[in-house]
Amino acid sequence: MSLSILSLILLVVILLGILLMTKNKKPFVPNLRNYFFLFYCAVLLLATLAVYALPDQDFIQRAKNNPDQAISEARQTEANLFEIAKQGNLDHTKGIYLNLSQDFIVGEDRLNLKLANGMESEVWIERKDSNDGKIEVRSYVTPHLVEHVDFSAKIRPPVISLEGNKLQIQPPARYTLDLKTFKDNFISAQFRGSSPAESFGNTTVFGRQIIYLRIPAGMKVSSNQPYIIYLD
Amino acid sequence: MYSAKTNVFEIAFKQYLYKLKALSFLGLIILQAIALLFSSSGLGMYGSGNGGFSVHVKIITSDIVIVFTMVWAFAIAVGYTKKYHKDIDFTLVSNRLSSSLSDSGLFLTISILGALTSTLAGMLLRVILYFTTDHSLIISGAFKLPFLNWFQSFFAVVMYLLLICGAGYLFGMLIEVNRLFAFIIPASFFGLARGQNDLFLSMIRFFTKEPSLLLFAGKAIFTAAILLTLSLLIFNRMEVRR
Repeated sequence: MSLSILSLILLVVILLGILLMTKNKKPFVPNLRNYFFLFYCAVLLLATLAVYALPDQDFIQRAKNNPDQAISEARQTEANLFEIAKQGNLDHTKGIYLNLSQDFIVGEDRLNLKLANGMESEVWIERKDSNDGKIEVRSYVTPHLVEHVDFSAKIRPPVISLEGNKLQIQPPARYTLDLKTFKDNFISAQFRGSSPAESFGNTTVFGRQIIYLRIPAGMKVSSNQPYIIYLD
Repeated sequence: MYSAKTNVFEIAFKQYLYKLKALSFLGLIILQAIALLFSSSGLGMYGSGNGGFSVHVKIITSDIVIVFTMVWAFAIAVGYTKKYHKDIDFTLVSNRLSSSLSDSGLFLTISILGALTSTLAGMLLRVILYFTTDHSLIISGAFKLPFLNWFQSFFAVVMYLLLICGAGYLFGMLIEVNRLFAFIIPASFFGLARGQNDLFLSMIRFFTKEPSLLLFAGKAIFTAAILLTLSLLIFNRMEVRR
């Protein structure tokens, strides 16, 4: 709030100063046009107050740590993903986001896994210890970064449906994330140089997205896709 | 022999107040509103994509608002050298020095108010985009500027506007001396930019590449003072009244 309060004080001081200097009896603002200007200033100040009153959690946060460190950590998480999954720590590892959780009850002991063309996500399967007739489907993403902005939470999960014993997995329709970032004006940049918070480059990290299935112990799986990884 | 003693600064101050009251900021408001409209679509973008999706990052800044404010300040400064404005001075107790001093005071006020509105217009842009677009796609970054950053920006814009007012005032005065200057000066600038590019760039960089705000302020004030003094000297050499 400091900026809004100080800018408010600054404007009030300027206006008071001008008013004090004009000690004559006539009002300082004699014409309608300048009332517009005062109204405009009031709108700008209210906008400034509003900016600082907006909750921080409404925005995509930049990485708190060093940008290079964020990229390095993202790549590390990506590289260790299989080990993390084997240890059953996908839900507890920082930087791995769960973006889909669905459970399906199946009456049969065979599962026909049908992956749509163009599916980029990997499918990992873990057999449970029991035959509870339930397929647990989870979708996880590792960090996706544009520069030092983590937009993983915006990654759309695949579309999954069960018809009989056929589990269909389809990618979401192709989409574009239109992010917006505010940059300080060019004059400020002259005196601060290009600060890391405002410099943009081409570093983009597209993480991995995996579909993790936990199936009953005795379930047999057939699929149209040969690249299915069994964790056990 | 006069019964009342006059002080040039007192007269200049009265003239300054008179001019300030007569000044309209409507043009500034309209220009900044247009600039805000242009700025809302962003000044740059970068993006990347993989098979399933693309990510675009739109860079939003209030640069255009500041540039438009500079144009407005330049136009105002040129306008104050015109016959219409100078004739008004003759309706008051005035001389060339008090007229120029009051104009300089007015330029300082214009610079402060122009800088205040143009830097705060960036805040209005943020609020407009927050409420009119999906705010969950806004990156926090420079959304909430620290006060020091804002003040630095405000102060620097004041200095730039002062410099531009000084340049506009001298330009206007030269045109009043001879209309040909309206073509000669811009042509000289274009010629300098093309023919003597290094010299031209050095002149520009003298201000735009100065990383110290205090040194920049010194350069801007000194240059503006020279420009305004030159304008006064030219004004002094003009006919009494045309």
